[in-house]
Order: sequence, then structure tokens, then C-alpha cells
Amino acid sequence: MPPELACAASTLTATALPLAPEWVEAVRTPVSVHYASGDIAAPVVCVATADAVRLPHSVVVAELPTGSFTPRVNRWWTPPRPSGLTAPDPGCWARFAGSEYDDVDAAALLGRGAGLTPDGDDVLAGALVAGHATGHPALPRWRRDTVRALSTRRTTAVSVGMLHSALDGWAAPQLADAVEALCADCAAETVAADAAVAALLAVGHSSGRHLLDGVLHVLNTHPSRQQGAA
Amino acid sequence: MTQLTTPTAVVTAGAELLADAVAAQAVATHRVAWQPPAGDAAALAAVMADRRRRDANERALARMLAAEATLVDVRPASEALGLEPGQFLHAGPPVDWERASGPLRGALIGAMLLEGLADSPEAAEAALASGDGVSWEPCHHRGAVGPMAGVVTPSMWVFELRDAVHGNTSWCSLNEGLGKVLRYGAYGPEVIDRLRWMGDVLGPLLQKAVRAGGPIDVRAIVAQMIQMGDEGHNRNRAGTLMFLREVLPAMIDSGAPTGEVAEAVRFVSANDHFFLNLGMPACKLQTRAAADLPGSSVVTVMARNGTDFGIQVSGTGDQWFTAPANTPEGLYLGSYGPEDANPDIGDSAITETAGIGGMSMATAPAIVRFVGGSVPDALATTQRMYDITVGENPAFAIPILEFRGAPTGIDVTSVVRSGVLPQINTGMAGRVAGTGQVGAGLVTPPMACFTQALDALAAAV
Amino acid sequence: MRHVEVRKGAYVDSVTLMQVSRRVADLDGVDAALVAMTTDLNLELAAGMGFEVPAGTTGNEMLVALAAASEDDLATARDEVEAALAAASRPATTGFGDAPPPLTVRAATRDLDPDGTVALVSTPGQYAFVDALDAVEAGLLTMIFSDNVPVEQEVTLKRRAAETDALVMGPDCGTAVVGGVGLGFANVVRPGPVGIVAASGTGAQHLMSLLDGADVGISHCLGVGGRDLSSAVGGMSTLRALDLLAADPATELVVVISKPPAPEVAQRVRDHAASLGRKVLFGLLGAGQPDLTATAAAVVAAAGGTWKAPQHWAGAVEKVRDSGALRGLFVGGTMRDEASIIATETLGEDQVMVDFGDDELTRGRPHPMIDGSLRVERIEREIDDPACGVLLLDVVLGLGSDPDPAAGLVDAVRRATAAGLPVVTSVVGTRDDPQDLLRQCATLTEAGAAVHLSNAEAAREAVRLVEGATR
Repeated sequence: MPPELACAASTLTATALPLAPEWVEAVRTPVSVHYASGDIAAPVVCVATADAVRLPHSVVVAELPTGSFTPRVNRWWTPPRPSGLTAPDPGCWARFAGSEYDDVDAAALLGRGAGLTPDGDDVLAGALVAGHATGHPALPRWRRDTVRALSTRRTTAVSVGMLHSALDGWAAPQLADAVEALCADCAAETVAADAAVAALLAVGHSSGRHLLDGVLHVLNTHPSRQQGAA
Repeated sequence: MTQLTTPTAVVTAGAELLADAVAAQAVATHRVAWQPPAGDAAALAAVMADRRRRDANERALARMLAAEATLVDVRPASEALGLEPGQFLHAGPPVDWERASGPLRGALIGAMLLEGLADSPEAAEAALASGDGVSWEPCHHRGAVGPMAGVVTPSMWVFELRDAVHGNTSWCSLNEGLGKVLRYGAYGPEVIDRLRWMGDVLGPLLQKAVRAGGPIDVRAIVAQMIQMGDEGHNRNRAGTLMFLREVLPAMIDSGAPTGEVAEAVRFVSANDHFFLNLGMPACKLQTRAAADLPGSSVVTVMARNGTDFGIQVSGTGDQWFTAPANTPEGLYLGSYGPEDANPDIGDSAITETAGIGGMSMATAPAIVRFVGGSVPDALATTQRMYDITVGENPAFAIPILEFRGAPTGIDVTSVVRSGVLPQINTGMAGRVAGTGQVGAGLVTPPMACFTQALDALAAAV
Repeated sequence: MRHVEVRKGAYVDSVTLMQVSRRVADLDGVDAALVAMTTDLNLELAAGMGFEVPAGTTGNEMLVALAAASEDDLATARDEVEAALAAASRPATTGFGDAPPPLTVRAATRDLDPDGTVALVSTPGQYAFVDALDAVEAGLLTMIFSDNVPVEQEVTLKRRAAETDALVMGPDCGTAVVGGVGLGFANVVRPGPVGIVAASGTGAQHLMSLLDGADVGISHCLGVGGRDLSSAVGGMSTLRALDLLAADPATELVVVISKPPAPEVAQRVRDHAASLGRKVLFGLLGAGQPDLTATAAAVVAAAGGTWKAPQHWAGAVEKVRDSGALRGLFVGGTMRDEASIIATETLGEDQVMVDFGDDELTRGRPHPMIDGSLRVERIEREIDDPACGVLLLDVVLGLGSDPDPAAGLVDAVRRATAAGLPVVTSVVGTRDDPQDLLRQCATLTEAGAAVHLSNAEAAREAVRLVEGATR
């Protein structure tokens, strides 16, 4: 039996953990290792130190494993999942604007761009989380398209893990906080929104920027806020 | 704490096993290396629970940081301190002839000879032992400080420093140099001759210079010397040169004979410790500003007379807490050895009371070997001192610690809880009267001073 | 060959000393080894082991008592003590410019954000006040694991906490879960909607374990100390904990676990709970009150879960030993109290029910959940005592506890059942606890014990055995 590794595990990884000795290492960074788990519910598990961005499908450890291991879960935690929020007035967050998109087109976005999480994947993840949070009517279509794109097109393991979590609205804390802050009262909460957006923009090299673009696209085009909406 | 969140850090004190159980959950632990406190647990609890303590200690620190120290005059002690013939001051807490150490006895004998109250050491000793027409009391009782034996006589000239913010004044004699000198208990003819010259030539010259050149900001010099490798107790080289720079033009302009000016400059620049006697009263002004705050557990005086170590604490006023002084450990001059060293002596621990000296050892790597230490020891020592102080003095910034301020405001409760004693960095006097300096080294106060202070603070709650 | 010495000025915590004692006792040729602080209890223990105990100790020294087969073995044992103590004290290496480890809680908290920082104080009871006060003054969530803390110090800490927005959990708070992080003796539980306020550590552990077994998760479990709801303390921490849970978005339902509070305090707590706008259930531990298992069932129902009766396994001995009485030997105080109430209802007041975690029995010693040796010695004596008819035990799992408590008990249980003495054990733990709940149960059942995941049911089975014999 491989050595035990003390950890704090996201509840999203519960079904994948018993398979840990069989996991396949896919990507290693200085603060995290991403594994293909072989589990359907959590196909990618991110083993990360406390310094890493806390992806929703993470297992937090004091030191990264170098070989095979048996997880010893000493703590369970639930990642954030914003929901039941109301999209803000259109144009409310114009000052955060970045790239604009015509649609959430998973087939066009998936795997597009550079990085551990290609830019298009970040946009897609931001859109899925914001869509879940605000109950966007197009969310079922986006989810379907994303699942299809994931099965037919290649992207990085890091992206697969992130998108898989985002499909159900689970988010890293920085993304979740930004979505919540942007959906709060836009006149009163500007300081909180500035802080949350700044924290999101600090994620990765450009991931935060693209996640935010996906979020803003969903919030700015939300049908509940379009003129003439019922 | 305003809401429940997942902790990012857990501070643990006590069983390691419980800390390990937290670490096993991938949560950062900050483990206290806990030890049972010294002294009475009930007294400690009472002092800690005293509602005045935190505010009083914060005030003590704030007053220390606000204190000024300006050299305003140089004058004879008879004038400045009102010393009458036969009255002497000395370092440390009160002590009688019976219990006085060799170096203090030697310095008092020298004082009798200097003042013309005896014509031989034997006659001086007899008069001192009988107490006939002579008396002595601690420098601290008059707001003054004196290094090593710290003996001040009426005819000696003293620096006069002023803290205008808090309206306090402090005094200290002029430094005689190293080797066979009165403050180390030597009283031979060369010692007395040098003191006479200091009274006749050096003192008046410095007086003219200070009066003509205007007040000198001594605290500003201390702040600079701390960044130049002086810790202000055992190394005062940069401070001495900076002081000389301040007074030199006025000394030259004074109209005194150039031979006298040259002799004075040669004397001061040959004595790396000349500034100690300016740094000490500056430190005394700093700690005195923190005195007499009810409930405060901050130490305001640490002083030794060669027999006893005494401390005073803000919340208990001018009450002394004394215990037998330790003997420093360090390096010896020439053929001297541990058996030649006298227990710790001098008011110079006022520098540590104010956060410099041994407390700021990290800033003086050049002398760590001189006191038998190493550079990592010095760095560790100063960082350790932050555990026992209320705060830091940003005016005395230590470059190697990223300009962290000197650890300032020694807290009695922190000392007894941590078992860490203030680090003092000191010279060593010979045990036998008349010997002079035998070495330099490191020493700490006895813990009993702090546990007594704790009991007194508890009684005053 | 014997060696006894007393060392002054040497302090090591009792758990580490126990580990040192064990390491030395495990050496070949060593008959007995006790390295412990010189508390009365430890001196008695040494005397009981046949050592000449030195007089005039204060309790702050370290006792080293060794017995070995030969001079050489004794020398080896002494070397091992030195090596083990040196390893335990492991001085932190301070490299060039590294800050040395903090020596007080105040120094440790100086640069930390009070919102994300928790303090866990487990220093000896007479000193814990000052360490906890540092944390309270820094505004931290402060858990005091230490027992033997005077009640007036508890009141001072809790009053001060109200001024600094701190929360004092304790003293004598054995368990807490904050945002999923277990503190003290904590079971590994899944996140969920139930927030717990507990004036009983082992009571909280039992409730959490039963809830976890029914797939109902925990948001936070805030211990408040066994005296919080007394009139002296007035429920100060309970009221604050209720406020914090009411403001916590993850908490949907609150449970308060306590012995019956002082009447005026009970009223205040109930009034406050009613004003929170959150459902608050009370699990009061006392005669005529529902037991913890019943409380757990009510919580599961209120949380919308499905309650199943906790598992149990039959024991090897089905009859009580001739005319013997029930003896309960517990590591959990609440386990003891609950069993005692159940036994008293049927069998009357004269039951011997010992809590090995009591203040008196833990002075200068690790808690029995870490070191069960005192209880094992007692079990051995009960086996030889014909007046003992049935043994009732508890085993508590979780982080911080003995990594394999069943292993420590199994020999004694086997001897007891072989001698015809029935053993009934409750096991408190979750599926995720590091000791492996099912393996612990299996080890005990294989040795002949009856095992229950419900402490109340274990007590009832033991009572039934005694009743069956008297009828």
C-alpha cells in the first residue's frame, strides 16, 4: 500500500479518493499536481498546497506528493458555489470591461489560447459559474455544448478539472467572491467589488482576466436585465 | 473575530500532539515553545488580568518613543546635581560599605583622593568604612547614571541632557577611557591625575563648545550610530566620532589654547567609549518618561552596583527589586581569567532598558566576538528580545533586521512567562579594588528581580 | 536494578513524556520506566510501580524512574531517556536571520490576522489563563483545552472576550470543529448544515459521530466548556456562539448540548435562541432527558435526513458473572454520565462509574483518550474482583486520540471474556476517523466484547445483563 498523505479534501473529490493509487499525474506546477483520476464524478483531482489557488476539486496538503500515495483525509471542506443571485443593471460594471464576446460558444472557446488553462476555457468557466449563480436560461445549452466539446476536443487536464467543476457552478474562492460582489447592489458595494475583482485578476498570469470576461459577458447580457424583458 | 471561517492559522501552546493533529489537516500551525512561567502563578494571573496593564504599557512605550535627549550643558556635579563635599553618587541600587564590591570600593577610595578628603588610600578606606563625613547614594536617585562603578563626586564635570517633551533632565560624568580608570575601581595616581585634567581642561572646554554651538540632539546621534555598527553599550565608535564632529568647530573657535584643544580632541578620539556617557543619560531620559504609570509592567531601570542587580518598574515607582548580580561571561584581557572578574556592575544597563546595547546586538556584528559570541547568536538574541518587549522603537532601526525597530519596553510579565532575560552586553571589572577592567562579555539580570517585581505589581492591582 | 532521579527546571508536556516513557519501556531488559512530572498522581504511580519516591518535590520537576534487569540494561535505558528527551525538545534551528519560535501566545499572534487565526491552549491549568488571555486580547477564537482552570479566571476571560470580539471555547473544552478544522479531540466529519454549541466535549463527539453516520454534516462545533451554563459563568460563551452560528451562512440548524443549565441561565439561553431566527434544538444531558442518541435522531429529522439506528455487534458472553454488579470505566465524561443515568433508572444509585478523564485523574498525565493505561490496569483488577459482574467501556476515536485504542484494550477484554466477565463497549467515531471505525469495532468484537455505536444502547445492554441475573 502506498504511503499515507495527510490532507484536507474537497467533498467533490470524495468518489475519486479511493482510486488514488491508480491516479495518473497529468500536470505538475510548483504548488499543485493535477491527476486524471479515472472517476466519472471527479475526472481530475488537483493536489495542492495551501498557497495554490483553491480549485473546487482540490485536495490540500502540506507538501506535494512525489509518487503514489493513499490519501488520509483529516478534514473535509465544501468549495463555494454562488447561486440564487440577481444580475446587476447592465453597464453597472463598465469599468471592469475587457474582451467582449457575442455568445458563450463552447465549441469555439474550448482549448483556445495559451496557458495551463487556455484563455477560452477560462472565459467558458467564468460564464458557467456566473450562469449558474444567476440562473441564466441558456445555461442548459452552455452545459450541453461544454460536455460535448470536452468529449470531442482536447484541452489541458487543468482545464478539464476546472470546467467539470464549473458545469455545476463550483468555483475557486476568488471567482465565487467576484461573482457575488458583482451581483450585489452596484451603487453601494463598489469598494467590495473593486477588492473582489482585483483578487480575481491576480489569479494566474491571465486566467483571472479571462474568467472575469466570461462572468461579465453573462451578467451584461442577462435576459432579466435586457430592455423589453418580461 | 467577527464571523466563523475556516482558520488559516492555528496558534498552539501546550501539547504538541494537538498541534500535530491540526497540521495533519493541512492548516498552518504557529507553535509556541511554551515553558512554565517563573514566579508565582497567582501573582502572574493577577498582573495579567489587571485592566490597566495593556493601556499603561502602551502609554509607557509611547512615552519612551516620544522622549527627546538634547545635550544642553556641561557643568560640575556640585552645580548640576547639588552634590555637597563628601557626597558621592554610585551605580546600581543602594549598598553599604560592608557589602560594596571591590570595584565600587576602589572608585570610592579614588573619589576621596580626588576630592582631597583623604591623603592615602588607607585613610580613605577608613573614613569610608566608618562613614565619617561621607555618604553615597545611587545615581538613579537623582536622575543621573554612571557607567561601571558610576561614582560621581562634586568636582567632576557632567553632561546635562534634557527631555523637553516630558520636562526631565539627566546627567552623566565624562568618560575616562579604558584600562586603569576610576569607574573600573582603579585609583592610582595616573587615574587621579587624568580626572583632575578632565575637570580643569576637558570639562570647561566642552562647556564652552556646547554653550557656543547650541544644544546637540543626542538621540539623533544614537539613531545614526545604531545603523553604523554601534549597539550603544559596548561599541560607541561611530557615536563618539559623530559627537566630536558636532563639538569640534566650537572647540576650535573657543579661544582656548590650541594645545589644550588638541589634547582634548586627541583624548576624545582615542576613547571609543566617550559617547557611552552621552548615550546612557539619553537612555535614562527615554525610560524615565515611562516611569510611574500605575498598572504598567514595563521596566524603567536596570542597574548594578557590583554586588546586587536592581530593577525598577513603571507601575511600582522608585521601588528597587534586587538580587545578587551575576558575573558576565566573555573574553578576558591579557592574563586575566574568570576568577579575576567582579559580578556585574554599572548603570550602563540603562541602554538595554531603552532597547539598545545587548538588546540590539544584531546591529553590531563587529563586536560579537569581543564578547564571546557569534553573528548568528547576535541575530537570534535580538529577535528573541522582541518576545519580552512591549514594542519596537522605529527611531532606532536595525538595518540587518530589515530596519526593524529596537526591541523596546521590557515587560516583566513577558520575562517571567518566557524565561527569557534581557541580554546585557557589558565590560567586566576586576574583583579586587584598584585592578581596573579585566574583560568584556554578556550577562543577564537575575530572574528573582523580575519575580519580586511581579509580586509587587500583583499587590498593587 | 533501579534508578530514580528528580530533575529541576526541565519541563516537557505530559504527552511527550508519555511517549518517552513508552519508548524506554519498550527496550529489552527494561522492566519499568516512568518519565513524568512530579505530580502527586505520578508519584503514587511510581510508588505503585515499586520505586522509592523522593520527598520534597513541588510538582514542577521531572521524575525519571527506571527499573531494568541489569546495570547494562539500566545504562541503556538512561541513554534512551536522554536521546528521547533530546529528540522531543528538538530545538528549532535558527538560521541566519530566521526568527526563533515564539515563546508566548502574544508573540505568536503579533503578526497574524485575527479573522483567520484560532488559538489552541493546552498548557497546564494553573497557567492556561495567561496564555488564553493573550489570545483573547488579540480578539481570537480561543480554545482552552486545559482543565483545572479556576472558575473566576474563566469568568474574567469570557468578560474580556465580549470586549474584544473573541470567543472563549473552554476551559476544559476537549473538542471543536471550526470551518471544518478539527481542534483538540476532533472527529473527521463532512461539512453540512448543523452547527453545534457544546458544553460537553465527548457529548459533542458522540453527537457528531452519530450525525455523520446518518450522513448529516457539520458546519461548526463550538465548545464552550462544561461550566459555561452555570450561574457563575452565566452562559457567556454559549450566547456568543449562538450569535456566531446565527450569522454563519453555512449553518441552517443549531444544537446546544449541555448538562441541564442553572435555571436562570437556561431561560436566558432559550430566550436568546428564540430571537435568532434559526431553528435551535436542545440536547440536555440529565435524568428524564432524551439521551444523545435520541437527540441525534431528532437532529437528523430536523435536518431532513434519514435516521437509522446505530450499528451494534453481539458479545461472546451473554450472562452476567455471578451476582456481580455493573462497573463502568470511561474515558469520556459525558459517556460516563449518560450511562450512569441509564443505569440508575433501572438499577438504582449504587453503580461504580469512573471517568478516567476527570480533572483528578489527569493532573500531570495525558488524557485517557491518548493514554489508556490507567483504565487497563483497572480492568485487570475488576477481572479479579468477583463483585464485578459486567464491564461497560467506551472508546473514543478521532484526531488527537490514541491511534489504535482497541489494540490497548484487546488483551484485557479477551482475558475478561475468557473469565466469563461480559464486556460491553461503545465506540464513538466516524467512518473518516484515522483509527478506522470498523476495524476498531472488529478488534473488540473478536476479543469477545459487545460493541455499540450508541453509548446509550451500550449502557442499556449492560443494564439488561445485570437485570437478567437478578430476576
